[in-house]
Amino acid sequence: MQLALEIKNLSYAFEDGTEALRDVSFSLKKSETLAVMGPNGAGKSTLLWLLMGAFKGFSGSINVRGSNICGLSGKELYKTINLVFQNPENQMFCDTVEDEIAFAPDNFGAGAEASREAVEETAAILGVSDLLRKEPQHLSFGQKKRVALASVLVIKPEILLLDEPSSNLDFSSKEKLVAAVNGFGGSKIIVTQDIQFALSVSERLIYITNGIIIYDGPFKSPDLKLKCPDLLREIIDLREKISEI
Amino acid sequence: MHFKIDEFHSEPGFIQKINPAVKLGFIFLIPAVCAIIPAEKVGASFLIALLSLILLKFSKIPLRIFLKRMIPMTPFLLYPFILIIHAFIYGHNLFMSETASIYNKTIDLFGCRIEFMASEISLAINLLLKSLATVNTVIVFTAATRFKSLSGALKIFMFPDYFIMVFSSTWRYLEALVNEILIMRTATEFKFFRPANIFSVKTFSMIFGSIFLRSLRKAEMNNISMKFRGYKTGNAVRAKSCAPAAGSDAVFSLITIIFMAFACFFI
Repeated sequence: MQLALEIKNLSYAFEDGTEALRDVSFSLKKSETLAVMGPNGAGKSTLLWLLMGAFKGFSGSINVRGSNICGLSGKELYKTINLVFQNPENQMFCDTVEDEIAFAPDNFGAGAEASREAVEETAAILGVSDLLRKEPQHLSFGQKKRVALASVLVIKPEILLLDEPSSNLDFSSKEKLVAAVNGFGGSKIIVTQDIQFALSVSERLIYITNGIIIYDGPFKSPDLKLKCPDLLREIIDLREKISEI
Repeated sequence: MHFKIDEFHSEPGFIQKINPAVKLGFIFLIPAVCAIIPAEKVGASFLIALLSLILLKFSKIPLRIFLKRMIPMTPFLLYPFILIIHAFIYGHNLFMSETASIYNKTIDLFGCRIEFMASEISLAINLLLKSLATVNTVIVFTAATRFKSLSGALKIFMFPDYFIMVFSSTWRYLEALVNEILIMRTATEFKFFRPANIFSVKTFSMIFGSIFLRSLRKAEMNNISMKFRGYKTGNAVRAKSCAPAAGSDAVFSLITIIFMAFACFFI
């Protein structure tokens, strides 16, 4: 199967010398969903920002559709791969939800009509059609998360990166988010601490600790018990709680 | 102690119903008229200031809030106020004349001789009225207008797209700054911080520093978000829509302009 993304021996250290990622290698197939988990400060978010080309000075290679991201122009890169921020308030700046979602098509040169159609289509998928005239600053957190996702989904990137998409969401908002993420046909990398969310959108897991991948494989694997006992305990805990209810 | 653009846009006032482009026009026109009124025409400035107060009444901006927030204007009011009181003490009328008893009055203030001329007092009052009219007008029209329709009105006045984008971004930045201030204030209250001594200055400096750093960080993240979505400096921004002017807007404009013309040319 054709690869959407291939990362080889990726290492990155911050300016103060702290190593964020060490020799990270993995690949992502077309339309595959990958959950990236690990403790705080493990390097998960840094990995996403590196994929977006936001940090320079890394070693190793990041190839998107066989081309190194260093050789791609900003426009080519952002049309192929795009990121939904952890905090939607950092992502939104327009006066209305409609302008917010239309920002990318407008800037990528879509015509007025095409832009309007794309906005309506994406808003319908994310269930934010009734919010189009509202100001993003006045929405609830769950609505903001969905608008932030819509503003990126409208680009229809081949690879969608999501940074903690389910954090601070209630059950209903999480359900809508799961439906939207599963409805997106492209490849996805989802950084999350939420096991329940990870299990509902992905079958493959990468577990990172101290910038090193210690597990890369399916959730249902005997290896998971050996390599990520803490994570497995958390999954078992969750299942026990659900069965108690 | 500040008014925000669109803060009172939801009040059920007449000013709120006027077309944003018409309001923007008066935001430029009234200060311009104030600027060209000659110094000796105190009566004209008085009428324009009165007009701005009538507009305030029609905007339904609560007078109590308005007065409270105008406190920073007090020093500007005090100077002419003292002169006016002084003029009254010496049996003079408000608008002065060169035959007034205050004419060429000299005060010895700790060895510093200050001469008050009738024309100076007239100038001071005129300046006060002009400032009041200008500040009132800008506050009333901006506070009673939705921000997004104000940026739409800028488009009608053929402001460049780039300017509108900067205007919108600056507004968002200020909003982020205000939010950070509110968060920080609540956080300090929760931690029982009370400014007690000189060392509080250090804490205050740290708070202010972090407020600016946090809002700058947010602005940077916004900028990255724009970049990820294809924005490059100089890109055209989406044209904001502004509804066409109605008959009531024309009537309002006509009455206001006639009133201003009367103040300028016949008083």
